[in-house]
Amino acid sequence: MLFNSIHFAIFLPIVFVLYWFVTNKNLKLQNMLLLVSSYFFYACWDYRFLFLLVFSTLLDYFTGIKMHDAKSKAGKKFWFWLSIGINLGFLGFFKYYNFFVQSFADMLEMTGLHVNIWTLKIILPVGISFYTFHGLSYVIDIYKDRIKPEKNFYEYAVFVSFFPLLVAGPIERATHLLPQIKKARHFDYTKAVDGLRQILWGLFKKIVIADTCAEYANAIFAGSHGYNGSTLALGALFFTFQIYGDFSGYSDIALGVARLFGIELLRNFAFPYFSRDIAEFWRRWHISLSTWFRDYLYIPLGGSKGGTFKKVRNTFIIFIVSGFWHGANWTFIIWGLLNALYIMPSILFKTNRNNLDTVAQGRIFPTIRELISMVVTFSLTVLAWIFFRADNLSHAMDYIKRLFSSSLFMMPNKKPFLATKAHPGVGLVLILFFIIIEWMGREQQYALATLGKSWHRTFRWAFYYILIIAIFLFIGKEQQFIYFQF
Amino acid sequence: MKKFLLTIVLFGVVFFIVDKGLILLRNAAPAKEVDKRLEMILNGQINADVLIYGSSRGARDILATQLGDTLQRSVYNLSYPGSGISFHEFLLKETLSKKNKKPSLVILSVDDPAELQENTNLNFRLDRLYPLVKYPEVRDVLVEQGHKNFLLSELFVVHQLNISNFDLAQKKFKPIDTLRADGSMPISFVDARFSHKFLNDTTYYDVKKELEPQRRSFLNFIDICKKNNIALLVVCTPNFYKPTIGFFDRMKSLVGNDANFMVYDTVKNVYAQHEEYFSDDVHLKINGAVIYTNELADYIRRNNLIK
Repeated sequence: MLFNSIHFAIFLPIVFVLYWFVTNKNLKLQNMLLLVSSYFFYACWDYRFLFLLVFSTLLDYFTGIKMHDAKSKAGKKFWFWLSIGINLGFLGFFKYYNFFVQSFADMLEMTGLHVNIWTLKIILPVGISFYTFHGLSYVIDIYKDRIKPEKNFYEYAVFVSFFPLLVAGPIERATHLLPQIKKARHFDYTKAVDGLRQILWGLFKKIVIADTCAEYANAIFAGSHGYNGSTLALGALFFTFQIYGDFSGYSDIALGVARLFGIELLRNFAFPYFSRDIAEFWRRWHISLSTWFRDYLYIPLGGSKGGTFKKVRNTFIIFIVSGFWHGANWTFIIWGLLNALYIMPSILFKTNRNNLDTVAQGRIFPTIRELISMVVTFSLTVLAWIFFRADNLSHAMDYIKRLFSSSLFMMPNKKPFLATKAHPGVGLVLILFFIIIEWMGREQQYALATLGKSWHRTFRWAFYYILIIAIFLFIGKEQQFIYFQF
Repeated sequence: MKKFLLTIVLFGVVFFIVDKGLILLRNAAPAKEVDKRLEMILNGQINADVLIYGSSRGARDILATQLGDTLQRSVYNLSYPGSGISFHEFLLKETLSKKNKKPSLVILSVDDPAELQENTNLNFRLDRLYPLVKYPEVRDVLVEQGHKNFLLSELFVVHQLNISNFDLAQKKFKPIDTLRADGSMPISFVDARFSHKFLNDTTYYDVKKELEPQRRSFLNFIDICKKNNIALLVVCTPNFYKPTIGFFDRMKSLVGNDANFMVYDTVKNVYAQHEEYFSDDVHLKINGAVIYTNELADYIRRNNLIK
């Protein structure tokens, strides 16, 4: 069940009504309803993998308690590694088995040895990377004595499988979400309206921006060997907005839906394309994953303590692991590596915490310096996305080679746009509109958070109707969210 | 909660009114169109003994009035530049399901070698459909093609529309797409991209590159004609390059041996000597179209394709 589907449009109001009208007086019932609806939501994808989700939940729930109750350090360690091992084992099997087997065979092939490899047709359970990381953070936090284990299974199960975040995050922390699940929730008009507004903006980002850009990007990447540099530049640009619209749109919908149920999720995006350097970009892009890697990998590895070498080494490790987290393909690893290289100058010159505020705070326009910094950072990001989007490394290299040729300054080819729904000009106008709205709301939690709030209701609603009309105009086939595959 | 629900209801009611207001926009769109052929099909206004379906090659290279005069029958051209076989199948289905006159002969112009293969130049012409979304049949096909959602399309007028529906200007023909009253679109100029050099390279048709939806549509097209007892003539108009080896054989094998289904191989090397007949590598100019249409008429008469 996708957020941008009719099924979800029916599912959500039903759960909402039951939640606030039937179970509203009883927290236990509310949580039970959330759990049942979350499992139903997940089973709509593939009910066979529901057992995996339940198993993962039970595993972390029990190992959490066992770890806490363990009388000895060795016992605590045993339960900790059992949980980590099984969690990573499942993730590794479903996500990386074929990759490792294939890479091993390729390596042997290079030495002249031919082996018959045994790969499996493995279906990746949707959301496995997200709920596994949920569980891991919980178990690690208990092991490190940061939190106490949750004794109420239903509440813990809601924390793991709460449907807005189940399949693509944000990756929540027990310290943030569990207390909200345990606390009585009361309907708040302002929060609910705010939630709807964020859902609206998320749907606009996904359906109007991402899906439209996807049509152009797919056509260009699919036939990249036959197009000139300027067409490929457009393809990379369209993908850049596709992935942002897609993932941040998903996150906005998730946050908005959760808010309808009185729950605040972690913010996942903070206008990353307005970043002035790569370090700032990574503080603003997929925040819940970046902070997860920071807290559970970078800091345990020593973080920025222990000299420049360690800092550089740890940075490379987290970026490569982050790339690998996205999928079993060398393209993701190179994408991570490239981002590590991008961030190196600011690590070495200690400028990585230069831009902690929002660009042009309190002003309408940025300064020339800010503008140049944003354009440079954005261009580097666009280049890195080519690796993320390409089918394989040779595709990416060929794409970049053709992109940086003299044909970069020629008129783009018409061919890739012939089969698309709309003229590429429509896509560029939409992107421009999107950038303007995002720029206007860049100091808020999301672009529409305060935009139009002070307007007369007629104008505010007219603006919302324009967004809704655009959504209805562009919605077609239910397009998957990119991050569901991770 | 009461305030929230009231706001939602009010917002929804206003949206409902705005949405229904868009019916005016939807219904005004067909009048702005200059190519009325599809609307004529939908309204059952096609009245011809011979109908021509195809892409730009069919539109430019076959002159319907000339063919009709020679055959002493009424002929109408329903070829759309940039359209593929799935679109032709849709047009044929609609032609036969409405109150249009059932033709006794259908001519299908196929593109060598792209007819059944991946080709961004041969599409389902959505731009021809969106101005006509006031017709339920058009909405149905948009749903069928996956461009619109059935439920949303039934509930909301706005979902039936496309961004192009908001362009209220009267449409005009581009010089290259000027439509005659008989549906043909001949051209009299030479395209700047024309190579002027006959391409003599030998290329082979690769069946593996065929796409299943295209092949299915092609077979459906044949089947529809067969079921309706309509003679079908599959033609390939002349190109300024050597025909792809194996393409005709493939077409013939798909068409089968039924007497009413014949493939007319018109690609003759004589065209290679006459660049003056061509507008570009794949389209004839009007002088070439005159000759080709005569050849086609001769073939139809010789084979007694019109009873």
